[in-house]
Formats: sequence, structure tokens, C-alpha cells
Amino acid sequence: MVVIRGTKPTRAVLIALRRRIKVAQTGHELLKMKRDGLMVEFFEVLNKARTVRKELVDALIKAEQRLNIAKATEGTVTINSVAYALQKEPAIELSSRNIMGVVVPKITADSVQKKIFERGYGIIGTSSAIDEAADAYETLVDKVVIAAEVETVLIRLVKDIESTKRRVNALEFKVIPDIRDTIRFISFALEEMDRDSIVRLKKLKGKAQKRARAEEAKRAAEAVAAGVA
Amino acid sequence: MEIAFVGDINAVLGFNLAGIKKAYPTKTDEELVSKINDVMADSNVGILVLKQSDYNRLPKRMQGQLSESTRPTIISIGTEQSTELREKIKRAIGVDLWK
Repeated sequence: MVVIRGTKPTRAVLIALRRRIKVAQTGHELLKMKRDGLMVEFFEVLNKARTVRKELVDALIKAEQRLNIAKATEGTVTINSVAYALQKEPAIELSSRNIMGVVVPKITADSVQKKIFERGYGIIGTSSAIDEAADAYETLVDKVVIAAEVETVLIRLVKDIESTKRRVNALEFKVIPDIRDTIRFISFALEEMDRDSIVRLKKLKGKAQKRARAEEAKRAAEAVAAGVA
Repeated sequence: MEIAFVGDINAVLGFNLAGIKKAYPTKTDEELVSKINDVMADSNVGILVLKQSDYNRLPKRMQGQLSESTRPTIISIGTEQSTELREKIKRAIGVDLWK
């Protein structure tokens, strides 16, 4: 039995504690629901993250292969100059979304994938190997954007699940039992005080009666003495 | 918002081809760390892409800092799997779910 330190066994404290335990219990229920909700969300995102990771690795391997072929046929210098000619930069948009009170980023990208004539270099002057390499890297960047969002969401969710779990457990195994013990302690103390005062009253009453009886006896004795005289 | 890449010269070339201008080639570990710090300070970068092998070379303290960061979001790519996320999930849920 762990009694919260520094509590005084009074009725006012008892009432306050009863109110507090009600709040703690409601909070516990709510947090438990939040934890379960987060878990469901987490599993969904986890599956997504796993497939996205796999796609990302595949895209990376493919992109590196294509780039190596392009380098072998065209040389690094040509690829460099082609890369310089590129006009459009892939832009991403960062906004946020709310999952059960966890703010997660939402990343949207536009114009990563480009048509050949949109790239800004001549089609005739370069070989298809460069096009393929560029294409593969654009796919990779696409996947990177998706993976970045999904993995960030996952990390945030994991963090929040951990803290929510901790709070649920703290309430369930520490806060609520402690309050319950303290309530028991205070009600025992109050009962004990009640019994004390009853006993004291009885004692006092007994004493008063004794004194009254003694006085009556004395008065009777005096009356008798007066009668005799 | 833009995407940035820090890493070896080959991958920089590839990302350049995809239209990413903020791709910085690095050779030594010190260069890597200082470039990453530069990119982290750049408020225009939304996603920082790193190679998994480079990420593993970073000091532990920096790895922790990067994995906490969400703006920019750091993502490491590579064929070998990152153990960090896996560890986190294991700690939070209690079971190794990432298989």
C-alpha cells in the first residue's frame, strides 16, 4: 500500500481524491483507446513502408546500372554537360496531416518525371543511354519522396505509441492504485477518528452521570440529616 | 521545397540528371559531415537523401540527430538495410515486426 506523501486524513482531501481518481480513470480509458488507434494506423503504415523500401532499393539498383552504362558509352563529361542543361528542378510540397493528435508531414512532389523534350537538352546530340539513366534517376527520386513521407510518418507514430504506452501504464499501475490506497488510508483514518470520538463521548457521558448520581446521593443524605435534626 | 543529396560523385551525377541541383559530392568524412550540416541549415531543403553506407560512417551523435529531424526529412538509401527504424519499432512495440 503506497499512500501519496503529504496527504492529510481529512474529509476535504478525501473528496478531492475521489474526484481525481475519476479523472485519472477517464484519462486512462481515453489513452488506451488512443494507443490502440495508433497501433492500427501503425500497422497500415508499416506494410506500406516495407513495400516502398523494397521499391526504393530496386529503383536504386536499376538507376545505378543505367548510369554506369551511360557513363561507359558517353563518358562522364557528356553526362555532366547534359545535367547542366536541365532546367526543371523537382519541387516538393510539405504540408501536415493529423493522425490521432500526431502531426505527420505530407509530402507531394510534382514534375519529377519529365518527357524527353522537357528535359532541356537536345535529343539528337545525346544517346538513349543518357535518357534511360535520367529516367531511372527520376523514378528513384519519385520513390525517395514517397519513402521519405512514409518513413517519417512511421517514426513519428512509433515515438507517440511509445509515450502513450508509457502514460497508459503509469496511470494503470502507479497513479490509480496510489490514489486508491490513499483513499483507503483516509477513510480508515476517518473511521478511526469517529470511533475515538464515540468512545470519548461515552466516557464523558459516564463521568457526567456518575457525578450527577453522586450529587444526588449527597443531596439526599443532606435532606435526611436535615430531617433528623 | 527542394531535394538535396550528399554523397559520392557517381550518385551526384545521377541525381543531377534527375534535375536535382543541390547534389553535393564529398570524399572525406569531414567533408561529409560539414556538407550535411550546411544542408540541414538550409531552410529550403525538404528532403535530404544520403547513401546508407555514408550514413553508417557518420558519428553516432549525428546519426541520432538526423533520425530525429523531420524538416528536412532525412532518408538513406542503399541495398543494405537500416537497423535504426527496426530497433525503434522493436523498442516501442516490443516485437520485431520489420522482417
